[in-house]
Amino acid sequence: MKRSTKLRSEAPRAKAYDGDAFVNHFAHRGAREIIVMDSSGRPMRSTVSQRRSYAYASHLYALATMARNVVRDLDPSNDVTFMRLRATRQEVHISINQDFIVVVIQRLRKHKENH
Amino acid sequence: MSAEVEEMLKRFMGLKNIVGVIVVDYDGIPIKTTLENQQSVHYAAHMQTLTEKARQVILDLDATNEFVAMRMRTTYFEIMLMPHENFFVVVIQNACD
Repeated sequence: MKRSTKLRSEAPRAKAYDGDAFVNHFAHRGAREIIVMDSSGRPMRSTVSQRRSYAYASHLYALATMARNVVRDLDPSNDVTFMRLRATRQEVHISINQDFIVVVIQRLRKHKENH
Repeated sequence: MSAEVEEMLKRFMGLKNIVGVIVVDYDGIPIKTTLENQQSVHYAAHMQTLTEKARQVILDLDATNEFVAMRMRTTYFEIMLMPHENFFVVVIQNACD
């Protein structure tokens, strides 16, 4: 029987969203970072640090607006409702609604190679 | 090799729900397409700017990441973009609800 030496790590700080069912539902699937923005791209609620959520919000809002312009240009009655951006280690899901934009960032597991 | 590409395109078009497949080269010119010419040129130009922007966004957020794919779901369609080194592929399918 092997005895593994465990590094004692400090306990994570208690956050305001700890018991939140919405956040836990996503965390179950590896998505720990959730940012809720209003329709003009300002982050309202987020589970990441403020600096990072501003960075994410500004970049992703710009991308979402550009995608919406592209789709509207190709067909004026069309409008983007959801976007998925896949990178090698993450997948970003952006849900675009009339009053707000929700961004969920999921960490992909290493063996998950698609396409 | 071109025969393989043609066969693969034909196989894609045979799938239910697929509206069109466009293969766009580095300059934004569609090299293989299943839509009409004008429409695919229009799509290709827009998708190219979008791919560049998405690549920048992914790189800015985390420099070790690489942009692999992007999917946009609109009210009527679902548009998928997959970039490679010299070209990228756009697939448009009906969003089945």
